[in-house]
Parts: sequence; structure tokens; C-alpha cells
Amino acid sequence: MIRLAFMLLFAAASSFAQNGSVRTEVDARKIGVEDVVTLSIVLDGEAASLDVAMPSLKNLRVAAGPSTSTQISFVNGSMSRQKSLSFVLRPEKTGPAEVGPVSVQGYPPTAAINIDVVQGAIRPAQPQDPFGGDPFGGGRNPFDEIFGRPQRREPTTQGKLFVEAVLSRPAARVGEPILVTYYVYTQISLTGVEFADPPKYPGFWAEEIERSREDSSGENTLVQGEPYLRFPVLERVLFPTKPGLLEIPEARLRLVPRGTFGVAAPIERGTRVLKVKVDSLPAGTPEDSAVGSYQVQASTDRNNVVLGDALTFRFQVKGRGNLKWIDAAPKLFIEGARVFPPRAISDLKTTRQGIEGSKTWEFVIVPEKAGSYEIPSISFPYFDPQAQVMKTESTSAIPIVVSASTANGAPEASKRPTGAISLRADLDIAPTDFAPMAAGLGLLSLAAQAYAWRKRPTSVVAHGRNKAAIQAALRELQDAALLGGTKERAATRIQGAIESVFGPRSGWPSDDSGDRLRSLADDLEFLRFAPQLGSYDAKLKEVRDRAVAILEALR
Amino acid sequence: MTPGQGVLLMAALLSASIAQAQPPAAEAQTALFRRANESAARSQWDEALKTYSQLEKTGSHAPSLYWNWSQTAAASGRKGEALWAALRARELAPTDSSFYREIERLRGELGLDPSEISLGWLGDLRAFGRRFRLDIVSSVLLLISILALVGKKKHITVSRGALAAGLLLVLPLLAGVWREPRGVVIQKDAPLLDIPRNDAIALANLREGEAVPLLAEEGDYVRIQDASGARGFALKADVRKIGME
Repeated sequence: MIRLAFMLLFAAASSFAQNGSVRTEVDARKIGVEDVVTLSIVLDGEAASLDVAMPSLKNLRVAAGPSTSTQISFVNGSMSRQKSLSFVLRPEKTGPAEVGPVSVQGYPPTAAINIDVVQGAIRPAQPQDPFGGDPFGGGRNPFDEIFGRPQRREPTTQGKLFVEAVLSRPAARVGEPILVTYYVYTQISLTGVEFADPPKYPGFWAEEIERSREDSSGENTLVQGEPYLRFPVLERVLFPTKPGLLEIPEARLRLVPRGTFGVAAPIERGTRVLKVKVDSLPAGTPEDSAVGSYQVQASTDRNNVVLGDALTFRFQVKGRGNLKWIDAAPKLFIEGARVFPPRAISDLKTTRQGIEGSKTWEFVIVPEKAGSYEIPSISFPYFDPQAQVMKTESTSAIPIVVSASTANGAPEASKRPTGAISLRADLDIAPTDFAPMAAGLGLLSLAAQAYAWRKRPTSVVAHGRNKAAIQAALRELQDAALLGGTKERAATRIQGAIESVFGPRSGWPSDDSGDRLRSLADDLEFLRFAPQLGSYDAKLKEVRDRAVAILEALR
Repeated sequence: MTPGQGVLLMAALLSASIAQAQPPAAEAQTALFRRANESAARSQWDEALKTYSQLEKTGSHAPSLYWNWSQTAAASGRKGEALWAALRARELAPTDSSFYREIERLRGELGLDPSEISLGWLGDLRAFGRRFRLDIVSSVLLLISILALVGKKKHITVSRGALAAGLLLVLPLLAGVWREPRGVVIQKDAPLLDIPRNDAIALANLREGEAVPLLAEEGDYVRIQDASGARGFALKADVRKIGME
């Protein structure tokens, strides 16, 4: 009875299997080693809904694919379905090659296909892209379409899609680098990928790795027996900043598939929450100490300097790890020299293994005395995660000689002023300001003017204002008989007329008017006492006219 | 001994005592000056500036002190302080053309307009008068005006003419007595504060090297007005006085 039941079941299965077929075919049986061959696995009818495993390959490898195409047709009211998987195969070397049998449950295995591989390329040029339905083609950049590459084929619009974040290690020490990579797994053609929210890394210090275009190229992979194209979209190097079980939250990516008639609605996918076990550094390790593998070196731009000149000391740390963290400059103290705060120069690059490069601190040192100095050894402790121990790298002490001083202890060279300044040697005296003296003299002069005014002779004014006296004096001087007598008498009369107006000579003013009067009086005196050797008429007349002019000026 | 002879004797004794007391102080100042110059020559700017300041406190106001101070401050990057020292040197030795060149150079480096280092119109008038030694010229004229009145023969006209000219020339110097006090901002980006207290708000930043009028003093602060007309307080340490020779 049981045997009968098995026989019926087998008959039913066989009748089901008979409603479809599985076949394999290649587009060439003889190819060159530089050619490619297309393998097609065609599943008809009921078999089209079944999964098929990749056949074994000898002397061949998958260069691209698979490309899946499904065809549904209605003939005389009945529906038929065909699914086709295409692979591009590339020979590895000359000689025989083989595509193994394809096994599909419920169907007999297909026959193996033998291919002869010869030297060189014997096939006509292949189309650029044999996979009309392949989302990307093997190793093809899925973002070519984004960057404007010509679209020459129909996109695949159906298939699975998911994202995944992968850690390079599940556990690390504080400060030890961990690489996290975000992958997109897809069976469909995409036109765009972006983060819906920027990924967050609480408890980590993240550094992004600069990625080249080649880094975005995809690769074929199988996930649970299903073929996917996988490509990385982001890589970050994370440095844990604290111990404990740290979580990297879900990151959500927005994926834009290519639809039948162009761009389809975007799809969001999230990564799993990742957990990292972070151990603290061994006890006794200084906080914020470097983690990684380092070498240190020290150098100076010169070892002999003249007092007053500066020298440059460089301390460099080179290696791989979390060097970017190290901000604190090493302590440097040199007795008898002035050490200026250093300048830090970084030459660092983030790689998948951590931060690589060097960090240099440049100190300017100015010795303050002549003699021998020593730049002390500088130590750089760090934790080596490979050896799991603290290590300390140290530089060697560097001797410095500051040029010998002269007998009085002051080096000649240092006495020279630098080109930038021009000093004066003597403590000179400011020129005297005579303005106060000028002010004093001004006051004195004003006082002198006032004094002179007060002391002016009053007779001139008095007589000058006596109009009657002036009139009388003028009449006397204009008398026709004045010049008729002797010269002595004429001079006496003129003198009398003048004095009747201006008073005696002693009261005459000391100004110009007084000078004129005195000059007149002197001439009269001369006329009076001069010996009678000739005629003085002309002189008398001239003196009389001067006297008249002086009096006329007063009227 | 007559009273006049007694006065002369006392004056002679006083002069002798001053002459004996002065050399040690002068020697100390010279030594300080030399020490400061040595520091400056060795590019020890801070030490040199400190010593120049110390020398000033001893009462030395030599133009060469301020010249060297200016040179050192400029070399150390303290351009505002350098300009202040150069202005001080010019006040003390107004006929020295090198001070004018140095002031122009520093003004250019600080990007200041000539009006921003002005001492005010009275101050500038006085500086002009001192530069051309109008004090001496006016003193000579006023002396002539006095001498013209001395003696029997008085030259009234000459005396009055010399008096007028002398007074005219000495007027800018005398008017400068009423000039407003000014200070130079020696600190870069010194804040202009709203109140003279530690919790003051910075209203603006003063331009290094700008000569600002000093309106009042309050504790460690001075009330000033900057070139834009904004009034406020600045730390005394940020603004150094000039025009007080």
C-alpha cells in the first residue's frame, strides 16, 4: 500500500515536472582566451518559478551577471512563462573549459557544455553591454547613470534590495580604530543612493575615508543563495572615546530605483544597530594618550648660534593610530633660554587602518646667555594595541653651542642692532622751549611801551595845542624884517619863536619830532656863533623855513 | 656784605650743589639707557621696552629715549606704542625731521588717516610753531621791541612793530596751552567700553595708533571719543597720553 502511494506521488511529481523545462546554452563553443562567452539558463513553464543554482565552472569565471529576464506570453488563451538567466563567462587560460550541469529540483540535470579555449581573440567584437536586463553588469559602477553615462538598455525594475553596515571588528580599546562600511545589496537598477539621516556615532570620534570612484564599484555576491550586486556607499573610521558596550544606531538610506519609465519612487532601508565592546586602556595609562604605533624624532635647524639669534627645534611623531587626537604640545623647558609656544604642523591622512602620517611641533628657542645648552630628550608614551602594552618613544638630547662671549661678557655680534631698528646711542637733551620766555618778553615789552607812553614829554602836546602861541610864533617867523638884521639877532628871534611854542630844549620829546627840533636848534646855535666870514642869508632863510614847517604841521 | 652780594652767594652755592647732585642720576639714566639699547639690539623686545619705561619713570624725557622706544616697539610688532613714542619724541624735539618721517611711516603701516593722529587744531598749531622755532623768533622780536625803548633815543615805531610781530608769532604757542589732552591707542583692538567697570560691554574696538581726546579719567579708565565720534571708556593701559610736554 505504502509502495503504491509512493508510486502515485512520483507519478504526480513527474507530471508536474513535465509542464516545464530547463536548458542551458552558450553562444560559442570555441573562444579565444581574450574573448567572453554568454551562458544562458532558460527555465520554461513551471520551472520559471523555481530557483536555480550556479553551475560548476571549469577554466571559466563569471565576468558579469546574472542578468534575469522574464517573458510572459498568452497563446490561444493559455499563459506561458519563461525566465532566463544570463552570465558572461571569461576563460582563465587556453585549453578545455566546461560549464557543469544545471540542477533544478524536479527536473533532470542539463548536460555539461564543453568549450574550447584557444590563444588570443577569435570572436567578433561583442556588444558593449550584453546584459540588457542586468542592473549594473559585473563590476560596473551602479552610479554611472547618475553621472550621465548613456543609457542603452532596459533597466531591471524588480528584485530585492537591502542595506547593511559592517564593522571591521566587534571589540576594540579606547582610541583604537574600527572601520565601519555601509553596503547596498541590490538586484535592481538604482539611479541614486543617499542617507536619509546622517549616520551617528555616539561615543566615537568618526573620520571619513576619502573614497575614489573605483571604491564605489560593485561586486557580485550571493546572500542566502541569491545573487546580489553589492557596493559600498560609505566608509568611516571610528575611534571609541569611552569604554563600555557602545551602540552605532541604525542608519537609513534612501535608494532611488530606476523604473520602467524612468526614475521610480525612492525606497528607504535601514541598517541594523551595531554593538561594539570597547575596553578601557590598561590601568595607569594617561588619559588621552596616543593609541597606535609611532616613532619620534627631534631635530634643530642648527647647533651653533650667536647669542641673540633664534634656532628652531622640531619634534615629530610619525605613525598610525589616533594621532589626530594628540593636541597637547610636549613640554619643553631649557634653563637659560627662552622657549616660545610651538607651532603644530599636521600631515595626516585617514586610511582604513586609522590615521596615518606625522605631526610636528616647531619650537623657536632664543638662548639668553652664551655657553653650552642641551635640548632635553622628549618622551612620547602611547598604547600599542597589537602588543597590548604601553610603550614610550624618546628622542635624544641635542647639544647647542651659543657663540663665545667677549671679555666683558657681551658678545660683539649681539650688540649689532638688527636691520629692522635704528637705535640712538646718547641720551640727549630736548631743546629748550622759549615760548614761556617769549611770553615774558612780550609782557615786558608791553610794559615798556606803556612806560614810554606815560613818560612822553607833555610840553609838545601842551604847546602844540596852544593855537595862539603857534600863530604868534608864525607871525614872528614870517616878519619881513626878521632876515634884515644881523645873523645873531635873526637866530635869537627864531629860537625864541620855537621855544614860545615848544618850551626849553630840555623838555623836548625824545621822538622824531624832538629830533627835528634839536636839529633846528643846533643850526641856530651855529648861525649865532659862527664867525662873520661871508653871507649867511641863505642858511638863515632855510632854517627859518624849517621852523615854519614844524609850526605849520601843528596847525 | 650787601644784600645783593648775599643773594648772589646763595645762588652760587645752590648751583654748585645742584651740579654735584646731578651726575650720579645722569649716570644711572645713561646706564639704564644703554642696558635697554643692548636688549633691543639682541631682539629682547620685552626687556628693552620694560627698561625704557623704567628710564622714563626716573624722569628722563630725552628725544633719543622715545626714538629708541619707538624703534623697539615697532620691531616687536607694537605699532601703536611705536607711534606714541614717536609722537612723544616729536613733541620734545620738534625740529628733528626724522621723527616726522617715522610718524608718517608708522601711520601708513597702521592705515591711519592724518586726521587720526592729529593733536587737535590748537595742538597742531602749537606743534607747527615749535617745529619752525617761532618761540625763538618771537623772543628775539620782543627783545628788540624792548631794547628800542631803552636809551635816550627811543625808537617808538621800531619797538611797536617788533612787539606786534613778536606777539603774532608767539600766539600759536601760547594758544596751545588750552589744547585738549590726547592719548594714543597703543593696544590692538582695544575695546571701547560703555561703563568704567569690569562688567562693561565692549561697544567697539579702537584703532591701534589712533590719537583720541581724553575727556575724563575714572579710576583705571579714561573717557575718550574715537574718530567716529563714539564716546566711551578705555583702559588707561590701552591709551597712553601725549601732548603733555
